[in-house]
Amino acid sequence: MDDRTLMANQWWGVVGIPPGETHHWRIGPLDLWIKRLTGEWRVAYGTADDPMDSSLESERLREDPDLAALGEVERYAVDDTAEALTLEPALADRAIITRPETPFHVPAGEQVTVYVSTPLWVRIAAGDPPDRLREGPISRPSDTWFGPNTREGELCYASRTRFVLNLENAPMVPHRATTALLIRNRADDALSLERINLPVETLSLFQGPDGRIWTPDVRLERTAEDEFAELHVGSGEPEQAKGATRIAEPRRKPSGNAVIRAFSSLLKPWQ
Amino acid sequence: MESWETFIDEVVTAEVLRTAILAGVILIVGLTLAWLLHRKLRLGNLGPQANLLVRRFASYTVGVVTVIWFLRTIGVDLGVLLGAAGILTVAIGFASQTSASNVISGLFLMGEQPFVVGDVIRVGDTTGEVLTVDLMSVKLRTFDNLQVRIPNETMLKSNVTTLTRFPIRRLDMKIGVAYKEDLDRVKEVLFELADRNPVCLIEPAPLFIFLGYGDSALNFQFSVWATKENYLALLNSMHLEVKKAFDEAGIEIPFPHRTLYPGSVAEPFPVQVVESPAKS
Repeated sequence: MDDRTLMANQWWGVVGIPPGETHHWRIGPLDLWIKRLTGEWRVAYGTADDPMDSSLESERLREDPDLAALGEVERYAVDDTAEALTLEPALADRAIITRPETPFHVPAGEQVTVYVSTPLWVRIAAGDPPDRLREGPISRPSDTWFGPNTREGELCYASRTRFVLNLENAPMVPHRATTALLIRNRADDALSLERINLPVETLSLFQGPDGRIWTPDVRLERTAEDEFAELHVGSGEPEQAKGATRIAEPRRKPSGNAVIRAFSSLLKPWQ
Repeated sequence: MESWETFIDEVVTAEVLRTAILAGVILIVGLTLAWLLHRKLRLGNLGPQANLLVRRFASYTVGVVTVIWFLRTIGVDLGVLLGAAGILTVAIGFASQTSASNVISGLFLMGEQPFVVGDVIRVGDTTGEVLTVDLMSVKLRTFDNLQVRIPNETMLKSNVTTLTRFPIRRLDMKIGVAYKEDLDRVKEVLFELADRNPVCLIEPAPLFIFLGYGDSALNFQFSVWATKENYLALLNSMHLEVKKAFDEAGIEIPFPHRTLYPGSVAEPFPVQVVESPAKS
């Protein structure tokens, strides 16, 4: 983890920080500095404007930086600071409403797989066994509302995606997870995808052999005469990344049979 | 002295002593129970408003039963007392029409529940968090930490706005730009701004409404949504960011200009030419 260029898109793991020293990570748009002091960890962070920035760096700083000048600083008091500091990836803490950048339609009887990406969170833990210090988004997505009207629904994060049909065209961004979304339209009319509610808090994270971060596969199925489509969430490794390693557990277990009726024309413009 | 002792011996019999002790115990136990119910009763599955009502109802009931039981124990004829109370009620009723109106309004408020304890409401010019909904009045805590007591009758007659009823709120920004500006460009800047602000909801989508040709500006409304918790953050951040984005994009926010004209018969304004310090 001390190399300036990280191997295989991996920015998480355990780093040893000697007393009085500071470690700096750059994970895409997020700059993170962590300083170890006696009985205290200092965490400073700042976010750049470009959410698709895919640069990665991890370095122990030779000089003693002024954290307050670099970003927002938080202090975590502990009994004794052990040398080990752990970064872990996680998916968002609320569902993500992902919308295609351009209108996307699946004609009657068709079946396609699209690849969508969702932003990751970073968890910071210290000690052995690690105690959680903080967690936050690498790039904070905007909030959005998902529900039948402005009185009922749930608060989610919003994400725009290109709904890539070919995996080679899906950019490998180290702070975003890719989800293979199988869409089956068994109805007699075309399925217009306006938005999809991805319950990412119920998904695990995997890292494929090529370093890409994956969620389990998700299947969106619309049966004949059904206005809604049903979302079936998987739990195992994705089909496209056989031999992937599980790197994070879901935040919560999916309720019931993990079928979510959440989709499409559920939201109307309200004025 | 001896006659006093004889008198006490005759009056303070074992029966009287027993009654006094019993009455004392009833009063102490009953009132303690009422106090405990008022202080400690919490039903986990009920909200703060319902809990308050249950607590008050339980403690008042126990208190009234205790007093009636106490009076009966010490031999007070409640029939006479209630008769006297009836006559008194008529007299008091005339004198306390406002209070009675407040009580009845309070019952309606509790039944209708347009707001509950913890909600933020606006009544007239007063905005605050509801502390209690009592029989006579509603108590609010304003955001500058003052307590405002509003009689229930006033609440029932007024327009009450519950700001925290629904999970999301819309912020309506009234903005004006100079006549020379391109409104399409203005719209683009505003929508980009809303898209970048993380507390501004992507859906419901922001709204742009042209309001009209003003005296010195093209007036429009830009409406954005946030959760009720983030409303204040949105209110502050959006107004600051709009000003900054307009400055960066060179979009002018005009303000009224006033030209002073002294009239044809008056002397002209004296004009003094000064040199710029940079040139001197």
